[in-house]
Amino acid sequence: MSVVGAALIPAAPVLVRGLSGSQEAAQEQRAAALGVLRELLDTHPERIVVIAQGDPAGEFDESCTLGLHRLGGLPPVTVPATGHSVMLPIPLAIAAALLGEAGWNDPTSYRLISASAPEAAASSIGQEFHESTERIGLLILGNASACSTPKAPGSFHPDSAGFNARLVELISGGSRASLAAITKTDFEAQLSDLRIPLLVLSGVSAVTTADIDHAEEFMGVFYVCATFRVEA
Amino acid sequence: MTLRLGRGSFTDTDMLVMAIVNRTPDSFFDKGASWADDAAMKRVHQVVAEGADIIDIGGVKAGPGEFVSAEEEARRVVPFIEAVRHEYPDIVISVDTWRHEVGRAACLAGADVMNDAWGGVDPKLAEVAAEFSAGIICTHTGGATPRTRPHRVAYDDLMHDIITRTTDLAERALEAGVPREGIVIDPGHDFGKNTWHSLEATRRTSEMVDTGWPVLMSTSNKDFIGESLDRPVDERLLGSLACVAVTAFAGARIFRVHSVAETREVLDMVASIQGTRAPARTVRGLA
Repeated sequence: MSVVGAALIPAAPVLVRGLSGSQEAAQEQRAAALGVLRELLDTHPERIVVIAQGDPAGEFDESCTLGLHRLGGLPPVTVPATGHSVMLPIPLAIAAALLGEAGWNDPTSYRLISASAPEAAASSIGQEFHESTERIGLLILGNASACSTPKAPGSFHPDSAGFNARLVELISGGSRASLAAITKTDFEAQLSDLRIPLLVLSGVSAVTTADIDHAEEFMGVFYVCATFRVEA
Repeated sequence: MTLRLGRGSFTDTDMLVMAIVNRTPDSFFDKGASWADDAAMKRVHQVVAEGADIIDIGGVKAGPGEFVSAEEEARRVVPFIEAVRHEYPDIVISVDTWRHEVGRAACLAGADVMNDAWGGVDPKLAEVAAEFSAGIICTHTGGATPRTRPHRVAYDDLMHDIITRTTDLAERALEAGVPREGIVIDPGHDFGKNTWHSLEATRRTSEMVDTGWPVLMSTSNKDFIGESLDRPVDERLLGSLACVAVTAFAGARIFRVHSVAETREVLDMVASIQGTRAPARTVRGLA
């Protein structure tokens, strides 16, 4: 059946309910991410596969604990789950928390792929999902520039606006050629963790254009929430 | 443990106020208020009068901003340290720097303490402290690069990480030849930490105190206070004083602050509660 739906949200801890304080500082952003996730679930996947960029690479499943206490917070966020001793890497744990909030409790696979993985290897992972016998909902995580304002985590990068615009255009247009035009160095300079997830997505030939639900800077980090069209 | 910070020697129950004097045009709180030489010296006169034990002089804003070379940093702080030393021969002066070249020049000008706020990025700073029998502050940043903001940092056990890293720096300073009684550890609020982390570091101060190393708290007007109370930078005094009170009661020894008089009063009250300071006037019910 292969990939039946695909979506993009940022791997931002502030999106997890309970981590953004009593005022729920990122309500709009969380709503956008949850909206995208619900659209993904509306494609009726049998399994969600979550992809994020980070090191060390690894594969995980839904038996792992979230370990959100590593980010701080108050109970219940800080109460460690019992059982499986392996904790999901932080970006994947964020996805798991949001999927849970969106109502997903079914099979889920998680993969953290090294930022230094070769391009061909990353896109072949997408191809692998495309050839799956299951109905796969692909959730990729990442942000555009984390250098979008002087108060940004990566300070201000003068090319951040251009970088963000190119990524939005690339995502909405589904152009694989555009992705190739943005170098690994560009992504690194902008503290963007979207390169590998987009390469994985590029391996899924059924994925074409995307609807951008949300594209905005928050605390200096440019978030994009999008759902991708998948050809039958 | 008795503290010996350069020419300053302090008893086990002394709680010390370290007054921040920025030689920067762009620091987050004072926004260049003591950038000019005369304004900076006026601030020194004021904080000494208000009860500061240590004058902490820094030449580079902690947050991201325009690059400041070691030469420029030294130009901002070294002549000023010399001037303060001339005015106050006995006051303890610390220099807020991560660079050994700046630390060395500062010691030659009369500094007593290396405030290594970026936690051992330049290991030679401890060698400088040893060479001059100066003190050193060993700060936790979680491995952050100087002048960067935290981005999605996570810790399996924050206090374990703080204690492991700061005591490791302290042991390395000791091995380099820094006198044991001149080595201090600092949890590094907001450095490599989100607000939840900084609150936890505050809450678990006693665990740092239990290591036996003297503990410094640098919480004054920081973002974790602003986020906790939803206050802009110029409305964080009460939150800052709450942090001083809580951590002083937990056993912290040095408090790096902007508001010296208010902090001194809070520390006096904490010391009175702890029973290490006699109240100023006790007549109620005693007449």
